[in-house]
Amino acid sequence: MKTSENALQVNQWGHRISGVMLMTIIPCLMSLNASAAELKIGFFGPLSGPVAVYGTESLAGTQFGLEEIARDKLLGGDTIKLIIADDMANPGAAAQAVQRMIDVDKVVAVIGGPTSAGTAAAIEVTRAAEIPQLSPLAVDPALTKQKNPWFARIAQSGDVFASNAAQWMFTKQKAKSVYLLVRNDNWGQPLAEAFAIKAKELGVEISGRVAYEPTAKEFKPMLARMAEAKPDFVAILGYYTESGLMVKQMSELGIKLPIFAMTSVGVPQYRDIAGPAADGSYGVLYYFAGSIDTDRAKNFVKNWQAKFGREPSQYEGMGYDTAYVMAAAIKHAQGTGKVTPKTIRDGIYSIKDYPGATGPITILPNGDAQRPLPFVRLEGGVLKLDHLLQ
Amino acid sequence: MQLTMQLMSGLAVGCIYALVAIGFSMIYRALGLVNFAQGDIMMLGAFIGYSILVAMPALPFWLVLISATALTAVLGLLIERLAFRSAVNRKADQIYLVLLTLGIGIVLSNSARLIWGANPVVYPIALSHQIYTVLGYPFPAVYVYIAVTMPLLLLGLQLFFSKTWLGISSRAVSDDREVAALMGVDAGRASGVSFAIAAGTGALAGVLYAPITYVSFDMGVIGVKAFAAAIIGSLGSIPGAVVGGLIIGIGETLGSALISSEYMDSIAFLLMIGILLVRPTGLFNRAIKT
Amino acid sequence: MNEPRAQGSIPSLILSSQILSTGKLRVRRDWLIFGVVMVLGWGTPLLAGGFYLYLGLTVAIYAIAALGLQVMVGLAGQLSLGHAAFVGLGAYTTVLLEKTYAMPFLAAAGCGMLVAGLMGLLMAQLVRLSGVYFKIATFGFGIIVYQIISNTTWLTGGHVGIRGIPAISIFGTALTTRKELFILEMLALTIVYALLLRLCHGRVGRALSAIGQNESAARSVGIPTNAYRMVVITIGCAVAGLAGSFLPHLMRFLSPESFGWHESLVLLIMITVGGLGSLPGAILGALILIVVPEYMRELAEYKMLVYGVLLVLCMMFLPTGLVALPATVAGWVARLRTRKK
Repeated sequence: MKTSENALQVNQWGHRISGVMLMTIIPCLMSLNASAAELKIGFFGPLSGPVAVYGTESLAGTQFGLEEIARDKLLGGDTIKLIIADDMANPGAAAQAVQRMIDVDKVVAVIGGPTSAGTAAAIEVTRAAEIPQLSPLAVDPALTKQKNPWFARIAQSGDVFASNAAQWMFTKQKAKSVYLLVRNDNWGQPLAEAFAIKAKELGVEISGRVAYEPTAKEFKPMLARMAEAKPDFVAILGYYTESGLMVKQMSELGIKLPIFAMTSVGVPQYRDIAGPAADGSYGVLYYFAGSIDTDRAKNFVKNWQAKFGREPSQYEGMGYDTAYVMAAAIKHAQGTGKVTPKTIRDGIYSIKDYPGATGPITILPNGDAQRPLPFVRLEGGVLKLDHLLQ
Repeated sequence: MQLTMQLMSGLAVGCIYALVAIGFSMIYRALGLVNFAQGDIMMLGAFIGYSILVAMPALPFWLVLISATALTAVLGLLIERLAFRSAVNRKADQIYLVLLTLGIGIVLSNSARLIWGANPVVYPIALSHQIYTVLGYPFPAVYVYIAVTMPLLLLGLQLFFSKTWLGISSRAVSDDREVAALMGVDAGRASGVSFAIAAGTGALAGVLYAPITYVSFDMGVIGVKAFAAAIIGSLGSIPGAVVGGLIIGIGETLGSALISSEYMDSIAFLLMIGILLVRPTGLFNRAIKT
Repeated sequence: MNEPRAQGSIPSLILSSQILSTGKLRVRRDWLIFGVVMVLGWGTPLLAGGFYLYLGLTVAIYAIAALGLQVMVGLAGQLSLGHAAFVGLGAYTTVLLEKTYAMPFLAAAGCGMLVAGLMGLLMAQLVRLSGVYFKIATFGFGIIVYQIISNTTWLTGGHVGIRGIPAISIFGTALTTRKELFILEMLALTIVYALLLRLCHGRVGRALSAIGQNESAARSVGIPTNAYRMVVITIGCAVAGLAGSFLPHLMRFLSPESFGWHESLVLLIMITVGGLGSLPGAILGALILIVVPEYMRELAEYKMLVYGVLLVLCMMFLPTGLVALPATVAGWVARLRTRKK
C-alpha cells in the first residue's frame, strides 16, 4: 500500500525530522515559485445526533464564508480545502478524528469544535501536534486557562457570558434573586460558577442552584422546588431541548416567572417545544442577525437571506466569521513568507478589532475573544434585541 | 397543590412506561424473547404519527392515534416475519435473540434519524401545549387522552385474549408452542399477531408521549425504563406491566421531589433491583418460561 | 431460557465441537492462531507508524475490554449489557490515583482492575436472578454506575471531565511516545489473551462452556453454576478495568461520555461480529469496528446504521461470526451439495 510505504520511509528518517523538513521545504518552495498552495484545514463537530444543530449550522456558516473567500480570492493564489469530520458529540471520536486529520490529511489548522466536550478532547491532540485550533462556539472557560498557545476561539469564554448575564440581570432587569437550573456538564457548570461569583459581587442572591442530567426530560419536581423559593428570575443554563421542556413544564405547573434561557432562545425548536409559554423569555446569543451596524454585517445577512431564504442563526454567523478569521490569520502568515501551522497560529493571535460580520473581534493573549454580546427577548414569536453589550 | 400536580405528571409518564412495558411483556410471553427494540418501536410510532399529522394537519388526534398504531402494528408483523420467525423456530440461544433485537433497535433509530432528521420535532397541533384548568389547577390536555386510552386498551386486550379465537390461540402458543401446534394452531400466525399488538401498544405510547415532550430519534431510551417496569411486574404479565410502569413513574417523581433530581434516571433501576432482591420473579410472581 | 444452542444445522455442529472439544488438536490450533494474531498485532502498527500506530493504540484497548466481555458472554453465556461502565471504573480509578497520590501506573492500574472486579463481583450477586432478569439488571447496573461517575462531581469532575492526565510512569521512567504506550498496551493484551486462552482450555473453561451451553444441564452434573458465574463475571469486569486504565492516557482527557450505553453496545457488537465465543474473534471485532469507520469518514452518519444491519445479519445468517466464516461457508456448500443430489 502506498501509504505504508511512505510511512515506512518516514519511520526510517525519524518522524519528527522529516516532518519538520516537509513543513519548511514545501512552503519555501511555494513562496519561491509563488505558486498556489492548497491549504488543508480540518473541521470537526457533531453532525449527527441530538446536538447536531451546533455542528451542522456552524459548518454551513464556515462553508458559506469559505466560498466567498475563494470567490473573492482573498488569499491570492492559495486555496483552502476543508476536511470535515463528524464527532457525534463523543469526545473520544473528536480526538480520533482530529488525530487523523493531522497524521493523514496533514492539515495546517483545525476549526472546532462547536461543543465544549469535544473541543476539550481535541485540544490535547492539537496541542501535542502543534497545530492551531480555532473554535467557533466552545465556551468552557477551562479551555483557555491551560496556557495552551495553540488554541483560540472567537466566542467569549463562559465566564464572560455568565458574568455579563448576571450584570445585565442586575442592572437592566433589577433582579434581586436568581434561581439557577444548570446542565450537569462542562458547558453548564462553569457558566453557573461564573454567574454565581458575579452575582455575589453585585449583591444578587442566588436562591438556589440545581444541576440536572443532560438526558432528563421530566423536571417538575425540580421546578416545583424552585417555585417555592420565589426567585425574581429563573436562569436556565441548558441546551434548547431541556430549556424548552422546562419552560413548558413550568406552565403546566402554573409557575409564572421571568425566564432567562441563555442561548436557547435563538433556536426555533425552543419555541416549538415550549409553546406559548416561551413568549417573553430572555436570552443572550453569540450573535444576533441585524444587531451589528456595519456594511459587512448587513451584506452577510442579505447574502444569506438570498441563498437560504431566512436570516442566519447565531451558529451560522459564528461559523462564517471563523472562516474569515482563519483566512485573515493565513493572510498574516503569507506576509511572513511561509504558511505553516506556527505562522497561522501567530496570525490568529494577532487578530485585533477584526471587522467580522458578527461584530468586531479581538483575540486576547490567552486565546479568548472580545466581541459584542447581544441580549434578546422573545416577543410574539420573534426575537428582539434587548441590549447590545460591546 | 404542587405535589399533586407532580404526582399526576408521574402517573402520566408511568402510563407511558406501562404501555411500552405491556408490549415488552407480551412479546416475552409469546416468543420467549427480550425485545430491546421495544423503545425504538415506540419512537417509530411517534414519528409515524408526526408524518400523518404533517400530511393531514386537521385530522383529530383520535384518528392519528389509531392510524399510527395500525401502521406500526403492520410494521411489527413485518419485523417478526423477517427477523424473528426463523430464529425462534430454530430455538436459538437467548444471547443471539437479545443481540438480534439490539441490532434491530439500532437499525430503527438510525433509520429514523436519516428519514426524519436529527433535530427533535413537535406535533404541530394545539394539543402539544393545551392546558385545561381543573379546580383551579393546570391540567395538560393530553392527560385526558392517556386516562381514556389506558383502560380502553386493557379492556380490549382482556377481551381479545379471552374471547376471540386469535387471542386464545396466541395464549396457547405462548404457553406451549409445540402442544398448540399439535392442536392445529398456526404458531407462526399467533406469534405474528402478538408481535403486532405489542408493536401497536408501543406506538400508542409514542403518540401519547409526543405531546408531553417531543419526538426525536433517540427517544427510545425511555423504553429502557419500561423494561424495568415489565420486570417489576413480572415478565409476561400485562397487569404486572401496568403496575410496574405506574410504580416507576410515581417512584421517580417522589424520589426527585424528596431526595435529589440528579439521580432520577437511576431510580427506576434501583427500584427494580430492590424489588428483585426481595421477589426474584417480580411482584406478580408469574411462573416464567424456562 | 438457557436452551441449547441452535441445533441441527451444520455450522452449529461445527461450533459446538469447537467449544466442547478441548483435545490436543484444538489447543494447538488455538495457540497457533494466538501466535498469528500477536505477530500481526505487534508488527503492523509498529511498522506502519503514524496514524496506524494511533489506531493500534485504540484497537488494543478495546480488544482487551472485548476479550473480557467475550469470556463472560460468549463462553459462559452471562450477557452483560453495561460493560462500558466497568471500563469507566478502571479509567477513573487509575487516573484519580495517579493525579492525587502520584501513584505509578502499574499500581494504579492494578487498583483500577481491583475496583472494576469488585464492582463486577457486586453485580454478580444478582446471578440469583434467572436469565432475563439478570440481563436487565446488568443493564441497570451499568446505568447506575454511569450516573454515579457523572454525578459525584467532587471526585470525578462529573461531565466537566478530567484533563492534565500525567504520562504513564513505569518504574520511574515516563512513557511519552506513542510507540512506548503501544508496547505497554500490547504487552497487556498479549498477557490477557494468553491467560484467558489457558483458562478456556483448562477445567474452569470447560465448566464455563458447559454453563454457557445449558445451565440447568451443567448444574445437574454437579457444576456449582452460581460460583462459576460469579468468577467469570468478576474476571470479565476486572479485565475491562485494565482496558479502562489505558484509555485516558491515550486521549489525555477523561469524561463519562466514553462509558455509556452506546459504548456497551459497541463492545457487544465487537464480540458478536468477530464470532461469539471466540477470543481471536473479539480482537477481530475490535479491529473492524474501530478501523473501518476511519475509511468511511464521508459516510459517518451511516456508521451506526451499518453496525445495526451488520449485527442483525450476523445473528440471522452468521451466528458464529466472521472467525468461523470458512467453516460456515463450507457448511452451506455441503448443504447445497446434498440438496442437489
